[in-house]
Amino acid sequence: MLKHLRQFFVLFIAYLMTVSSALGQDRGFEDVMMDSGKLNVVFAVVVMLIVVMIGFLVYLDRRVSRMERQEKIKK
Amino acid sequence: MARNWWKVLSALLVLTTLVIGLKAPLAPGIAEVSPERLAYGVNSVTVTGYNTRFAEGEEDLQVWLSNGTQLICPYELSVVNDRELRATFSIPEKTEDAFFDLYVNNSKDGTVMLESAFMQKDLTVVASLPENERNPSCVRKPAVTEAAEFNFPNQSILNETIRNLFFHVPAWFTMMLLMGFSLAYSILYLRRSDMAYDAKASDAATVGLVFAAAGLATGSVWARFTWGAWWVSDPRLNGAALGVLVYLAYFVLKSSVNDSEKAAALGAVYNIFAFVMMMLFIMVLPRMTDSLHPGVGGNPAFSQYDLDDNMRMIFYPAVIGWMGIGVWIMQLMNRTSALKRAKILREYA
Repeated sequence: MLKHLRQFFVLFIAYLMTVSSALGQDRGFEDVMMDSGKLNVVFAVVVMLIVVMIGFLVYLDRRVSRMERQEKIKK
Repeated sequence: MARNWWKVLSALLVLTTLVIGLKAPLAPGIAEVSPERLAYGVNSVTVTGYNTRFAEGEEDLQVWLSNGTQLICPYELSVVNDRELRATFSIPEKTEDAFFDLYVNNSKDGTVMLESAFMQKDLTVVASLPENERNPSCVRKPAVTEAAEFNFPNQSILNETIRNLFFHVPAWFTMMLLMGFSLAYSILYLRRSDMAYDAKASDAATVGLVFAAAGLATGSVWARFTWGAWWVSDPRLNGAALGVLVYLAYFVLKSSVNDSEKAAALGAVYNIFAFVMMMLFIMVLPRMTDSLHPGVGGNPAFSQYDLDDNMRMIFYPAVIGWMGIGVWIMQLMNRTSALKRAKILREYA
């Protein structure tokens, strides 16, 4: 539990630092990001994170199903 | 596969709404004007657009100011580029309102408007102007956009952050659904005294808290952009934080009792209290006072004013998708807990 909390805390701090640096920019920040195409990188990273999350859920689902089948056989 | 159709659907909905929600452009709008005050006489202003095509639609471009019933058109207008134009107005001495709304129209962008774009400076504000000073004929029939593309509304304070609606609100809805599951499992535990229900209630509350953390984080970022602070002392925001704290206390309470049967019974009773308190803090109390947050204190939430049809097309599937993902994670935790219990039982048998 403590290990998870520590991981969550580190991720949360990293998230806050990223967001605060982005919001600290002036109004033209989104223009710069869009015009230079850097926003596409941000977009790709976000999509990749969600895809990895869903992939991990599918992996866990299959693994738990396999363990459930083994459990049934043992019974 | 047939049993898992809802998981596939949830994943597809989340991915689709994520891609469209982040990639669809914002509708044209007016980002800023300079200067922000208009005085009596000649005033030259620079208008900066966002996603606009001023140069492309220069042929039928028209700009006007609206002040009460009075319309003011520029006598000089020049387009710098697609996103910038300059207009020179002759401002009369008397006006009906302290603020001027700015309108820009062409066949490419349609009509874009900035409410209260300019403030009056040393003008005489009167209740009503005579008919001949209202000048309604200075504006031609506004051009209509040639092809309407899929975009999200460009609201002056929200700007690009309007997309956060597809993540912030579904996170809270999912949290409420999962806490509802947790409540139902706690009631079932109290009726049947089956430890499996206690584990399910605890798992649902854990996943619910993760979504609550996501809701708080996305809300805090949104508040920083729109209200200028990471956290404001608002009944809705404080209520949400209190609701989360009430559920954190549920875990503290359960872990503080050594006897698992007693901990489960105490936890189940407290869970009922926690759900009622959370609903009071999030849904009831903020509606009874003034609040900055949309949907409470008389502010519109899911009304025609701030959620147009394009947004609804993404918002509702996003809610269903994230709820499905939340239930999926909860189900995985439940199944893992059941396996752990079965293993422990087998070892003790």
